[in-house]
Amino acid sequence: MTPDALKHLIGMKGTPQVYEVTRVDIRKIADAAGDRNPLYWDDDYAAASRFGGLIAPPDFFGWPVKWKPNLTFPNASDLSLTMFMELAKAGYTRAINAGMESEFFRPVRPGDTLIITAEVVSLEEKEGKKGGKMLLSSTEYTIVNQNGDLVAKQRHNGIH
Amino acid sequence: MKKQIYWEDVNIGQEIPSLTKIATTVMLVKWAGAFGDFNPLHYENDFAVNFMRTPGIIAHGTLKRQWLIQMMTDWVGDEGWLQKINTQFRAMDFPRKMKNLASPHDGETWYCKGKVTAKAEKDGEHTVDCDIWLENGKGEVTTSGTATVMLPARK
Repeated sequence: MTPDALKHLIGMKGTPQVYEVTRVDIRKIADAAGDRNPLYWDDDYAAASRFGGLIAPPDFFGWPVKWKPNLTFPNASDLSLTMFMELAKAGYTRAINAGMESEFFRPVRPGDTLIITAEVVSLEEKEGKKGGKMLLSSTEYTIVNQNGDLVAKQRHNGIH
Repeated sequence: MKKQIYWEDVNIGQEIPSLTKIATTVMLVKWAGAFGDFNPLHYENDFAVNFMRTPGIIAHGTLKRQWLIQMMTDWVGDEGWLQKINTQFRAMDFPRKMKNLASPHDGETWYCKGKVTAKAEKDGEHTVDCDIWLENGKGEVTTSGTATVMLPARK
């Protein structure tokens, strides 16, 4: 059940966030994952592939163009900040990433500008395993590119 | 050029070539910086223990997920396309600490694994569904999920 104090959050959308994708970001993310796929690293190889140029690994959508200083998550939208503050008021101060669901429609390329809009889709309170209550949250992200084409949809499921 | 797999070559029950990974403290710091998740849970032990109440710093779920994504993109090759991936983070994974600048101490190794569960052909798209999971060195599944990929067809 959604706690009454949190019902107003359901359906709330964040301000669309603008992200830029650069080849450096792509290489950093591929390197951090230990992925040497030449589609992310080798311009000539990627140019000769069906993609016609470098692409980003799935689930990487670049870096925000603007973000407030001192944030632990530069990818956090104003929506997630609002949500975390409201959850904290309701007694849920911790957040664990319980799972993610993604659907990919188009490749992400260096030079892309992506617009990501987040929406709170569910907040369910449950009895915890060790007694006490826990809260399951689900937020959906819709990602479109500079042409308005749908690039990906992503759902983040949290435990609080 | 990598060898390309085709839809016709895939059988239900078939295993996806596994991918071996070692999470280290250095890798988690790199991932924090590259992905943009600066939660101290992933690099500051006191914070992890005292605030998050975990036994120590833990690997990012997003990193473990990216390993599974890599297993899938390696498998489907340049002509394939990862359409969907769903992952649940079921248990914590603790990175190896570094022995020197280049190498971690001995310890846990992780294995990305997967198995084909279904094949379909619809509107000219050839897809394959898979169960995917990450096992730690004890054979425990710490992340699990499903993936759907599009593969080229021979005909």
